Amino acid sequence: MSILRQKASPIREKRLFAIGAYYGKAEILLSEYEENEQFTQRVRTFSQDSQSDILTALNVISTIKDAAVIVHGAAGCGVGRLSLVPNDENNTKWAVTNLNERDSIMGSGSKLQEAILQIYKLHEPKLIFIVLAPIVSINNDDIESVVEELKGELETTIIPVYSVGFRSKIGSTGLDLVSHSILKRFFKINTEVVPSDYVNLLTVAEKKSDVTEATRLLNELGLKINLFPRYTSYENIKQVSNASFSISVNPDDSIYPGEVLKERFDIPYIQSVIPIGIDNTSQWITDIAIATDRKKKAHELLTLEKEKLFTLVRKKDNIKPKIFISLTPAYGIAVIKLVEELGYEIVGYKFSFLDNQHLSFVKQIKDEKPDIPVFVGNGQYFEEENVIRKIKPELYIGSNNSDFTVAVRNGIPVINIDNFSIFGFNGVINFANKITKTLANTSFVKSLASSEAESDTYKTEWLRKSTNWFIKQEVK
Amino acid sequence: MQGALKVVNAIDGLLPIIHSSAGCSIHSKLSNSTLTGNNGAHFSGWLETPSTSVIEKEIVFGGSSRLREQIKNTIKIQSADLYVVISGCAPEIVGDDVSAMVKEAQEQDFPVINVSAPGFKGNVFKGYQLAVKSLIERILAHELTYKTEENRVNLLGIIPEQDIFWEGNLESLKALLTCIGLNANTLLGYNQNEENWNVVPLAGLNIVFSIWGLEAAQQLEKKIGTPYLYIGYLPTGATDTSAFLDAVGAKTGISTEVIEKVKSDNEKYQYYQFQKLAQCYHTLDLQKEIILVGESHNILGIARFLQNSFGQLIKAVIVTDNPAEEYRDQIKDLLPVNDFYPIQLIFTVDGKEIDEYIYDLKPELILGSSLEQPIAHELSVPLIKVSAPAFDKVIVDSSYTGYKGALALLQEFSNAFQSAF
Repeated sequence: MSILRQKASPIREKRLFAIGAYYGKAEILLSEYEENEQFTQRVRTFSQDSQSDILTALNVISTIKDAAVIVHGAAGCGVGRLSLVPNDENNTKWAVTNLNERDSIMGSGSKLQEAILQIYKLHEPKLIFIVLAPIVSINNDDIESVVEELKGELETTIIPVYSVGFRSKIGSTGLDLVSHSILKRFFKINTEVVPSDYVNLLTVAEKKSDVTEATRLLNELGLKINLFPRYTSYENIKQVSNASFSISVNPDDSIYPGEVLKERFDIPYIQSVIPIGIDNTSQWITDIAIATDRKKKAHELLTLEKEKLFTLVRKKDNIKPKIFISLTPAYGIAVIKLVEELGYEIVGYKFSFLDNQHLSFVKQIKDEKPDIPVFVGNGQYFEEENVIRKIKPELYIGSNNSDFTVAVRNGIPVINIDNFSIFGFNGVINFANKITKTLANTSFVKSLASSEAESDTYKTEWLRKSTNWFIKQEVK
Repeated sequence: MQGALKVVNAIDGLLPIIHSSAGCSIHSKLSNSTLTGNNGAHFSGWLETPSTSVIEKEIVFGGSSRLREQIKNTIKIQSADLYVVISGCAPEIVGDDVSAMVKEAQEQDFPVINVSAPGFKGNVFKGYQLAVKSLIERILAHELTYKTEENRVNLLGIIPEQDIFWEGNLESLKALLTCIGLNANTLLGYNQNEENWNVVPLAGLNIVFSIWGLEAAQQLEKKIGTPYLYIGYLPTGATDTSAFLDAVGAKTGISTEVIEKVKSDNEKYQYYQFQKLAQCYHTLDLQKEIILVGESHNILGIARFLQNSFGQLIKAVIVTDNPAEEYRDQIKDLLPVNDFYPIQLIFTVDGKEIDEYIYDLKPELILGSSLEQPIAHELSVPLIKVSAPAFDKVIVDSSYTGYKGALALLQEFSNAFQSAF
């Protein structure tokens, strides 16, 4: 099992040729791909801060039951974990090793050991995650020897997560790390595989209501669900190796655990689209039904579910805002499709990264919307401001990870897709309703934007420049 | 780093430039800002913090040229009165010469300074101190002679977001001091910019509300002789607020007549409201056994008011900002005294320990942070959030400081028992 021999999953730049910086025509991106068989890496000579793999990894780990979490770094690094506490229904026990200058010079091993022993003594968690902050990686502190020493002593699975913070420019790399770390440490070489009748649903960064809806739809198909790695538990992890199939939720993120599970346990992986939108939801259910031999059930389910869509009133004369979407690629691509299903048009979009799984989308943009540039960036709202000023969208669609102040100060109404469940046909209805309600009263953003008190965040010179002014090809 | 960011983000016209691996300011916004009353963004934006976001190559081969380029380009696209380069763990460990890059920019007449604030050097309080020190050093470096404005005072030691009511508290104190004819420099928050910092040396007095503001006060006293008045906590309620005004009056030469008028008007108002509460105090059984958890300067004022004026029985005051030994006696002296119901004073930063103390003491109400929510739930007692972090709370500009703040506190306190079930 070669890939699990590494202590960390490959970064997305290497595994999927993911890029985090681009603004320009789809045509150029595609011709570069044709020439080099991968997207060309670019860097920014001015950048704004963005999520690192530590935060994305912590985001997944914080949903796992039966676990304790140790953030191995300076005090402030634990603050990232703190932001996840409000939504933590497991009341996960956690600690931070509070590394100071002396630890940085002398080594942090003993503090880590103490933290593990203490947290074990107090709570006896079945899983102990150790998430590393950059300071530990730069100092090359030896985590493995600490883990080795305690492995035999304690009745728990210690799972170090090698989040480095500067290995990858793509924050989502941290999501792969979690699956990798769990699968590497949890299963012994001679783990017996006992085939069963349930399937792994590979949840990674989805919100609870969406996972509930996805599970519900699959239950209707007669499938028993085992969640991994998001919202998973000790028992769920144990069962991961025995599933009859693994199913994707977000293809961008499910693919890594899906392929590792296939390689390690021979579990067939069903990769499909994300179940957002009418077409996509139908396809997702159909793809799964075909693979698991439930076509008849799927047909029944789809007929029933689609009846909900009759409540969608296609208002002819209502407002048709020009939409700008800023999301992670799988969500973004699906939402673009969804808004078009509802009769709206997009004038622009930004994805937090792009990789070789999105080639067909880029080709589609080149063929159908060649004038809409491909825009890739994690954070980098200075570029969004530049674009928004030029194309003047009338509705901005983002998520909890977005910075809405950019849209709001420009007087653009906002939809946060994390405010409602967007999966499935129910999600289509929710989404349509949210658009209607949002546009029915935009007084908050309008009153902010019309206020004379504010001056521009960016200089006019920047707003006039081409959006990709600070994006350059990487010099090898 | 987060301490330094809190200061820079609270001053209009100041823009941070982070030199570190990606994510530091995101962590800060998602927790420090969101979890302390959902503080939003102002001048420096929400998730728009300039950052070098160094990657492996820049760590191995050094990130100085990346920083140089980032500083240059930040200045190109964003106007600011001052660009503050804040360096984090990665570049500090590998030894990037941040000062050299900053000096380069300064030599080209760009307003840039640097604050070295990697996480391993200290916590949020240290970061606050570092940032304030750097800003003051920069002003004093101009070496002008300052004509003291006797009625100008600087308010030091209130840390944005760490004090979840910081905006309201600063405004409250400013309004209070205005009543007695003083011009208070809040330095952080609404309408505060570089100009306000430039006139820091003109003040006739610095008022210090926490031990974390002492360094700056001592720096100013040493360099230009500005006296300071150390209060060490936020005064709440008539007794302490009036005493505060007396202390300020004594150090600033404001006429006692003016101060007495303000005191008497407000004391009368508090008395009026207390009279109205006399009945429900007893029908709603508002005397409780309580515990306070938080930073000394944020909870001492509340503790003193609730015990000394509102009949509350305090089981323990748990101080979480880890003050140095030399300040602990001072804090002990500030604790309200009740021979019939002694208060335990506990210093700890460990969440588990705090839970254990609370569990053993079994209070009827906790005034603390959201980290006390689980234990409050376990004991089935209400929790009033007065300390960071405070989850799921939107705080605009409320305050429990001063005369008015005390009454807002009483309302919150009394209602905690009504909505508990």
